[in-house]
Amino acid sequence: MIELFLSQLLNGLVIGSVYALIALGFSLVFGVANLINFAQGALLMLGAFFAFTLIQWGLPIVVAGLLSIAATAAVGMLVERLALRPLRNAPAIAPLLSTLALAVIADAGAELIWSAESQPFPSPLQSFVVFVGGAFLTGVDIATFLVALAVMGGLMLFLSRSWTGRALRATAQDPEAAAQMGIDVALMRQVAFGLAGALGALAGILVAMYYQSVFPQMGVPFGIKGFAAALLGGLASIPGAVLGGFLLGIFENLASGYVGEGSRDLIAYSLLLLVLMVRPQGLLGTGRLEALGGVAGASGAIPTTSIIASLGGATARTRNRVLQPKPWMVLAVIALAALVPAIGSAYVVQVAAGCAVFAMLALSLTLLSGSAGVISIGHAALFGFGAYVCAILARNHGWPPAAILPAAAFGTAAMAALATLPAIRLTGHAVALATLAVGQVGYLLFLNWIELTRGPMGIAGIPRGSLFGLSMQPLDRQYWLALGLLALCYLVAHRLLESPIGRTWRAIREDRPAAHAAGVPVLRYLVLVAATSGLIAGLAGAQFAWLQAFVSPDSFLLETSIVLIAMVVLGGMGNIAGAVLAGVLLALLPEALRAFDEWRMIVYGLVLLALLRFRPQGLGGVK
Amino acid sequence: MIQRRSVMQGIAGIGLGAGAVALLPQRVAAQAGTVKFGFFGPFTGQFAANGQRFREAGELFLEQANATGGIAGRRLVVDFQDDRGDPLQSTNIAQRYVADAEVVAAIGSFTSTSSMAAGQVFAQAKMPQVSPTSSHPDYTKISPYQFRMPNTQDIVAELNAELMVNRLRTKRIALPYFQDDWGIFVAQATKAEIEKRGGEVILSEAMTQQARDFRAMITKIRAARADGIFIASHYAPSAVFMQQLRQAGIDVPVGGADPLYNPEFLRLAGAAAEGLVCTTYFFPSDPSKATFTEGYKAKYGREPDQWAAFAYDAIAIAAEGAKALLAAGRPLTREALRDAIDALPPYQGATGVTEFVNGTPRKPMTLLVVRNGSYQLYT
Repeated sequence: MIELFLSQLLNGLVIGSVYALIALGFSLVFGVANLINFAQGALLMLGAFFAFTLIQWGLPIVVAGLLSIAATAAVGMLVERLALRPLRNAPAIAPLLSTLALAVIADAGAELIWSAESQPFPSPLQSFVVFVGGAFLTGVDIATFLVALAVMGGLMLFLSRSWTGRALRATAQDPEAAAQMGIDVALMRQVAFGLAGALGALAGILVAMYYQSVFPQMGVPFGIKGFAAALLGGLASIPGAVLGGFLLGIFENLASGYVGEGSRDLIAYSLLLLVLMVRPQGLLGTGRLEALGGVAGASGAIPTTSIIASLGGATARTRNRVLQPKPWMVLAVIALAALVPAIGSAYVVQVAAGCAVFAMLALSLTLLSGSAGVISIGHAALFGFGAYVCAILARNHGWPPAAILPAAAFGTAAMAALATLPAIRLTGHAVALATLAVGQVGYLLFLNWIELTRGPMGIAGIPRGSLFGLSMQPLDRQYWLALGLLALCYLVAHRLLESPIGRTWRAIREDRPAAHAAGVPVLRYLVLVAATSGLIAGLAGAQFAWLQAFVSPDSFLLETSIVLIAMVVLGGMGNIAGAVLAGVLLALLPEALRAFDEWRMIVYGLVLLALLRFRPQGLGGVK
Repeated sequence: MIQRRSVMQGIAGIGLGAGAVALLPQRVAAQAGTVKFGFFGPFTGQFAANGQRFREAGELFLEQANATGGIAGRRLVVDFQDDRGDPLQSTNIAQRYVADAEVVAAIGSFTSTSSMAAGQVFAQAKMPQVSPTSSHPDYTKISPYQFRMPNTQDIVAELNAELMVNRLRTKRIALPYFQDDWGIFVAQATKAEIEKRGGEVILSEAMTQQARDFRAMITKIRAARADGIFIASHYAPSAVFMQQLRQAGIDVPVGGADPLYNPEFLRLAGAAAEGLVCTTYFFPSDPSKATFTEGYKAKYGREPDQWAAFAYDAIAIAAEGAKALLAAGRPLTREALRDAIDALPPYQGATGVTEFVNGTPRKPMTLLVVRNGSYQLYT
């Protein structure tokens, strides 16, 4: 069916040009500020809604579009002002969390302002259709493609020819040297964010025209895909972002055409993983110091995994007070927490048990991402794996908890080692992409492998069984089991981190080549940390399955992975006590803020921003 | 600098403080003269468009009920909670209701996953739960405490298939479905019924949850020479699907599942919606539904949709159960309320007549066609 191929190729080029625009936004910001801007999807959505409102006020679409692009560029600069600038001296990954907080605020704000409904967006060009054989193109497709190409060309000219463009690239290559040459580095960062905002708005307007509608959630998939496209191209490379965008667009449209719409993303992410194995630096992300890449790009950091290095900023005013309680203190707090059922209602116990599960997850991820420096944006898949192991064994095979716990723990540990294997061989930002892809593939398998997981229907009625002759049915006992597991995992993690193993993990994080040169079998240590992390995540998953008595893919979205990374950053990278604290706090917050009603998520974002503002190294301090 | 920092600390402090207060067990003095329900759904997040309709309908009923003398003289109180479509939050909410001794029934949620996660808690606590929308077959199997307002999909599928095969006279049918439990069940059941009637499903593909680009599927539908299409999906993606379908020049007859009866669908799809035939439980032009339809329009300034109607009926039927108990002079407990809801005579609501058999009704449905930009009865 040549018709299908041609049609999918054309669709891929059109959608790919939108991905490329978003990827360019990611690349610009990453190049200049060494920061992954999670608010990029939100900027896209805002751009579309600004244009929508202006059109409703009676402005012609082109004028509305231009004004919206300007306004979104201003919002982009505001993101820099709020998310990046106050955190200059924080660990390099901290601003990632503040962009996430801003994205949460923007999404919730859009629902309040424009309502959650999809609303029609005028698209005059849409009725113009050209048939190319059996395939067809609409006026919007052609406009999208041409506008995107023109903007990309213009951007490259701007970066290579204009003074500001050169200053931007200089800032990307070496901010300190650039500053000494008289470049206003702070201004350049703002310019990069402004450009990212403008690109996001443009993409948003094009998407709105393509869908002929706007809705608050519209930025989410494009944020993820744009990020993946940027990583695929080689995060800091401008031509790479464009290529990555087009390739991703074509990939997924061909997958959709030949395998089926339902497996579109599954195939797109699996292919991404494959590309990564062959070209870990991204397609065009070579060591060449071209475009925005520069030194920062070539070292391929997300940002650098070294926490010490990123703390040693020029103005080291930050105090890194590290929270390092003795293990008995943590155990004492957990023991105190065990008294909750005596004073609180079942609701409080349920919430507290959820907090314990998320504390375990944060603990598990801080080992991998904090101590060993393998930033994972796919941890929810391991959590889900543990939960599904428990659900299937308990529900379909009647296994008792005493058998399920080790099965979930070691099964997930093996899975983690296996799933992290492609990521571990990679360095820098490629790790983030690999884990993102693994996380998405995991989620999509939960969703699509209906024979095993029952897909979106979920698995209900998971029996809690009995442990050591004690029925685990009562909620209080589930809570105590969760606390017990948390205490156990904490002790194990603490022992490991205090031992030479933990020191080796931190050595690998700080300087992998040096560790390697010193004779450390890096790969073996990384597999070990992945397995340990997976073991804890598996226990958390099993506990979650019993607690809910119901599992469905909805609990293991990318959103969950991002919240987990947020917990690790908020806790202080590599600080297990901090991770437990942050895990409890971030799991508690959405419940605790119920009084704010529809403002709940906005307050959630504000609290995150504020916490980060006065403890940039995280609550526990980095370790 | 110092000032700003203290402001930020203030925000953090207020947030955490408010949180701590919110978590404290609520010991409001028990009011003898009230009936209290819990009402939860995704008021924010991915499904907020549906969840907000729920909430509006719930608040409308609350207002109307209390304006007309409450429930057998008692004032109705409703605790609205947002679950964001997240099963974890819905179990938390369920425990919250269970812990509040005054709450005698819970209404919610929108997604089957949230309804079922919460259902496990309600079943244990023996609290009746009425879900306005969950069509998942397993939902009412959790316990006798679960009720739902829509038919199960095997009932709906008979009508879907009859529409496609007998009314629209199509034989080679494409069946795109939304990738959630509802869409999967509709597609499975409708396919079986179509085949029973001698039709053929030549293509059945999932629309992923956030997808709005269906051209690949449309190209395949054209290549497979389908002579009819049945859409088992929600209104927003379906509107985009219809536009892309008509753009591609495919003008075969299209039938749709009940979510396509929605004023927003017409706004979004515009001319591309013309000629579509869909099933529905609820048609507001029907004069017998005026209390709901007129009340909703007056309060919110827009037409209600089917989700609002379901939510309105769900809370109304729980209230009806409480009224029956109180009128009989019996104490209003959770278990007694379950039995009262189960034993209610056929209830005439906005979505038709509801009579529960094992928690599930069997309601008649209507066929509507889109003509000249509005829905009309299809005859």
